Amino acid sequence: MPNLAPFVVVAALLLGWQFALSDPTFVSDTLAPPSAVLFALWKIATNGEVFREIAETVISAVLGLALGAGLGVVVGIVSSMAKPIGVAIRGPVEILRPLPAIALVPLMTITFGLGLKMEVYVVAFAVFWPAIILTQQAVRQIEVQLIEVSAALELSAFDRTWKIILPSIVPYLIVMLRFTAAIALLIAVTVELVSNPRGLGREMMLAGEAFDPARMLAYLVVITAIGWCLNWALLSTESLFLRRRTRS
Amino acid sequence: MTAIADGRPKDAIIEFDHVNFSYGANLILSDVSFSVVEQTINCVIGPSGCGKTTVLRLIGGFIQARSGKVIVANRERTKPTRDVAVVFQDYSRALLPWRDVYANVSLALEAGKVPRAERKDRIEEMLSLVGLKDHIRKFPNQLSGGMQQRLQIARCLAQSPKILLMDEPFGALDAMTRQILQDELLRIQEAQKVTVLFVTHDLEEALYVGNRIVALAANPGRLSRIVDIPLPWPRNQLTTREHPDFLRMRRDLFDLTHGHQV
Repeated sequence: MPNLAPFVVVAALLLGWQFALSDPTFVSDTLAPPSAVLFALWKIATNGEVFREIAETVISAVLGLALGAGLGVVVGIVSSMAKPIGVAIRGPVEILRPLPAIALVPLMTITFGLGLKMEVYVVAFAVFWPAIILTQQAVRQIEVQLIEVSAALELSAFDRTWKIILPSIVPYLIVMLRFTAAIALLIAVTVELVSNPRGLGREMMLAGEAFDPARMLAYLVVITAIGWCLNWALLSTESLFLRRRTRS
Repeated sequence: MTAIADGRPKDAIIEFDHVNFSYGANLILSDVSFSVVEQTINCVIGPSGCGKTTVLRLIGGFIQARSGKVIVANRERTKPTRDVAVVFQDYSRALLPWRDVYANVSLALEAGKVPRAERKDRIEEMLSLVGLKDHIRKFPNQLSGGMQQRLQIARCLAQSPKILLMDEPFGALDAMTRQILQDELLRIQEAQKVTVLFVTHDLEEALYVGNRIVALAANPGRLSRIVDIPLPWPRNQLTTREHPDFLRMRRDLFDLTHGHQV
């Protein structure tokens, strides 16, 4: 018997919310009942605009994630395999890592203008640092024996990376992607909220400025749903990989 | 099986020449000298902390002596090479869990740049040698401990080594499987003409599989005795273990592994 408690709680909250705001005389610039949000959702879904905005936000989040996490994995592996490089990059990483990516928006806007490119770079910057650090940690988890096997077999640096290190860290990389995908979505939406005239963040901002809370909340629901889907997709990939690898 | 006479330096494939090894101020091996004759099975025994594994890692080329020389096939050992294979005790950590049985053995051939066309026959030959031919498409986590260790041995043999280093290879297996694999090791060693260095804490196992015992003493690790094992070949789990020489050597060497006296 599945545990129904969470569903009961959510349903109760939604009903309470609906009931509290169902007084016909109630007018608000910030709150709307679930029914109104649902109606707004239906409207943006049927006229199709939400899909264009989803595509804009998701594409910049995914491109930024691919660029930032991809480079981060490369730098993470290289710096773990070649000790001098690892030592050399430690300083820059520690200095730049705490820099909030959003603070780069003005600089990126001057450099690349508004639009997809600048959003992708800001997202990439945000995920690059955690990707490096989590990759380095993943490489450190590799069984010493496997490293020694590859030494005894005199594997080339390329083979060592491609045949031993990368497959060994795949489960960790998926966890890293799950973590950085959340950051990527967060940063993409934030860049749109702050300035970039595209995507879900921008539409949410406009709805707020037009005092249309139902529409604003509808976009919030969409963004949350994308976050869920992303997490769910990466979780399923993770369990797919882990099933084969568990040691007997 | 080759009968081994002492002092034939022309046949020595491994030579330790006054080897010292330390971690910082901690002396692990002190002035160890011995040699190993080609195509024999040599068992390194001794109490824990005597540097058995260190001896093996020096031969493997994973670490270097502080002073003295470790010579393998007439060359001073400076790094790991393909002609020395290592069988680790912890087989589950030495196999690639994302590759099936076939592909795990294939790794050794890929490393040796063996053309793809020639790999298949060689892999199948190695797998039938260790009795895994019917499990080619299984993954390591679908194999028993004994089978995983067989797989590791198959991969090591596929790299065509002159020397097989085995670090307590059967230590994690149950007694029954251990005896079966001891016999398999003897059969494989004879078929492949490989030199084996076998680290174990089990004196009876050493007497059963070895041509010779290299006994170390602890604190610091140093050579205690080198004893040739005169037991007749082929070895047999029943008769060898009841052989008067087996029982006598077991009694004589008992203290060596327990570290009471040296």
